[in-house]
Amino acid sequence: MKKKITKWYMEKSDHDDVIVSCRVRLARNLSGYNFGRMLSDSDAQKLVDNVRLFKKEIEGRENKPYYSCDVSKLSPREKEVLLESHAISPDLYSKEQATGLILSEDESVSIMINGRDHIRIAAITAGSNMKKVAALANRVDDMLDASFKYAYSDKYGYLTSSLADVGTGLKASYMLFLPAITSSGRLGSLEAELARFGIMIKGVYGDGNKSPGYLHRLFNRRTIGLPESEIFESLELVVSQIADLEKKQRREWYERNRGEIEDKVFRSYGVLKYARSLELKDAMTLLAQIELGRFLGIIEPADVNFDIHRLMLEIQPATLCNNAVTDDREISTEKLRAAYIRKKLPKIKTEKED
Amino acid sequence: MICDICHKNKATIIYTEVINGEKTQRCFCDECAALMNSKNPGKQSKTDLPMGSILSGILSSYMERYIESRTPNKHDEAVCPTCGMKFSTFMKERLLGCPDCYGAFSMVIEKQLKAVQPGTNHAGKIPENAQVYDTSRTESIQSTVKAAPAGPARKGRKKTQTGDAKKKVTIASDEASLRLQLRDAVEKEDYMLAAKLRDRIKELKDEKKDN
Repeated sequence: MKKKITKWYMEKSDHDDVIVSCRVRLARNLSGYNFGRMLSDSDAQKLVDNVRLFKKEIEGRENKPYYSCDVSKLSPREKEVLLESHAISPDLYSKEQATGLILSEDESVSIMINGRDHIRIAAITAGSNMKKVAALANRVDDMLDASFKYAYSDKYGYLTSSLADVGTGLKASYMLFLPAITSSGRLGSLEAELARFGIMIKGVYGDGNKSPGYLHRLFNRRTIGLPESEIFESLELVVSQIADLEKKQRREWYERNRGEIEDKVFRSYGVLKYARSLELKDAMTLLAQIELGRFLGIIEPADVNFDIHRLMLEIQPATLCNNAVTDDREISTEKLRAAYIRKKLPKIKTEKED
Repeated sequence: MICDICHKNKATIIYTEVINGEKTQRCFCDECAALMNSKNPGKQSKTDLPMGSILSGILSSYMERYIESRTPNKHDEAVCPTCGMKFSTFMKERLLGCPDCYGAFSMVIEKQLKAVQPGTNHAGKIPENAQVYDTSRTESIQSTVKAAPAGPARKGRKKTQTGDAKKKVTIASDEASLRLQLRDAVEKEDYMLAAKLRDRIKELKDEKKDN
């Protein structure tokens, strides 16, 4: 498994400086089984075994290799790695019953088995390409529909174990980088306003305003009473407005506090470049400062392919330890993280002096 | 607005009193309002507000609901006939047990969906090969898994024939279903039906005591 695979987050795309990634998730349940809450252990195993057979089917149709496993039989470390890379949900991670996963090699498509719902299809891509992921998830859904019997009603649509998903079973989400909106303290009012349109926004790492890395996930709360196309349209409209607002605020913020922001950006770079021990939260915040500095034209990494969001994923504890090549078994995660960042952080090309 | 008594919950009842031209206003949450009206003298002494008899009537419906939500009756509770999911578990965990739960708990589901969703009818993708479930509300599903005792069941049927036939509302035979219907009736502001249901619940309770 040490083969070099381009993961979805390494995919190069001309994503703009606000939208980090797009994700579509479809919740589906099969007839003939109780939902997760009332599912017996033997039925759970049967469900996982049955759906895992789909790996062959999808490999044949998509002509790509897929990886499949019994998540419940993995080691805690392996499960954590999958959780950190968003390949499995917290539901699936913490479940003691049999759970399964079918994952494409680039990790852009995952099919989670026996999480909160029997099947959850997720498709993800870097940058802003919701149409692409929506089409991908839809295609996988069609294939599953042909192989299994979904539980459906004419009134409520796809029947799900939680009322938060019923109807379309669709959650479409954008991951957004919002340093200026967060710093200006406007996130709260934005949150309230979005709620009126049935759209939620949440911190990706940690919660609310304190999300280190200024990363936020924006997604639809409404799942029934409107077609999928409307869900996508309303999200797209809102996201483009937020992106404009964020960019405008970044410029204004920079013009007002030029010296302070430049100091912060270079200071962050310095700490990341020379620190010998870094806590996750600190590292995330510092990396986000560099990302901001890059968008504002304060610093420019010598390596144009340098992807901060990939680095953010790689310094999560389990992923970090999993990738680490060290003989020192006693070394702390913080030291390991600092060393990893030192190695990965590119040189700065130009330093703009005032 | 925060409740005047517990200073914790959101107030849902605003009580304005005008005595000799002097206006006083107090706000209460469901819970405190229910406790105020309860027969527990210890809790009642928390407030010295003179509660009129009309208000007391309104509050008793809150109490009914409060008690219903806090102390589910384990033996007579509504249960999904397919998977055995209890109504109280569903309300607590907000998770359904199987496709048939949608029919079993349909009246609450409609209400909960209405609160956050633009509609309660699916308008999206239709699968090709799915198993199509009937999720409309059915009376039989509302009853408990154990067959209702013969006595009350017979009486229940009698009641439907003589009672409310023109409204086409079947009064259920067991306490759990009656409570569900009562909740529904209060929501729809059908107080005539609510009163009948309330009396029926009381009758059932008395019968049980006698047994």
